[in-house]
Amino acid sequence: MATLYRWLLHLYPADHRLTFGAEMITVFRQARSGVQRRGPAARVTFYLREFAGLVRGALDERARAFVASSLWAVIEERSFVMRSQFRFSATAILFMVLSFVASVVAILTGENVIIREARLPAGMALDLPRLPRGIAMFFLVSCVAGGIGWLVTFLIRRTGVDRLSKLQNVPPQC
Amino acid sequence: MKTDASSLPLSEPVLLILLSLAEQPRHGYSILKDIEDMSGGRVMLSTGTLYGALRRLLEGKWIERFEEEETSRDRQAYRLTPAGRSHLRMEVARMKELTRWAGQRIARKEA
Repeated sequence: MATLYRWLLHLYPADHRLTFGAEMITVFRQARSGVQRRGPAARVTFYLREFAGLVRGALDERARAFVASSLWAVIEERSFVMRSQFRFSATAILFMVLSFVASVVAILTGENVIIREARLPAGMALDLPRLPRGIAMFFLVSCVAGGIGWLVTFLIRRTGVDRLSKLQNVPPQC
Repeated sequence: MKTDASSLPLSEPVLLILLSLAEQPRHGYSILKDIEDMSGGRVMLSTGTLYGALRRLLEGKWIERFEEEETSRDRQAYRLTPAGRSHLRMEVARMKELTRWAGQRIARKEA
């Protein structure tokens, strides 16, 4: 049980584990030895309470670590702070890759699907229309269009237009 | 954890941990046993609940790790800070006031 307890401790964030992990194992062992002579029902209750408390505690700590991390600060900054630097969004790249993989899977799946119509003679089969390929073509065209858009924006940046946002207003001299 | 009066009322585990440490500095297992004894066996905290509460109390500087000569990594002692003691007093005063109101209201109803 101590091994399972130690294993479940890995559900906690690393900093909590480093600070309290060894201590928690020691206290668990002490508490377990204290409950040994109380009978099987007390032991079962003890283990249930300990493991449920451990999992719940780990979830609490994970939630706290998530909220305390700078993720929200980063999201807020990205949402509300206007940046003069141009960056091609990593999220966009991720979604492009995911869409591409999904399209390939759809094509491969669609090619294996055969519709058997009742009116056709036995043994004859009808391939699905190549709709997935159309979707893939549409996706590829979108990617190319997106890439061209990115290239245009990149070239505009190279001209130094984005530096206009850094210019300071100078009051007119009389 | 908030460090002002807005942090009241305290949750039962936190209140019991503070009450346990109010008497003397204790180690983790000693806190668990003391809470069990104090509540007559009604409250038995798991180690997960105990160390979640201890972490929050340490962050809020309501308690601190107590330096001992033989302190090892797997056996730390904790004690109340002045801020923790002050919050405990505030919580007990709040509960006393609540009990007084409740007593008055019940007595009025019965009279």
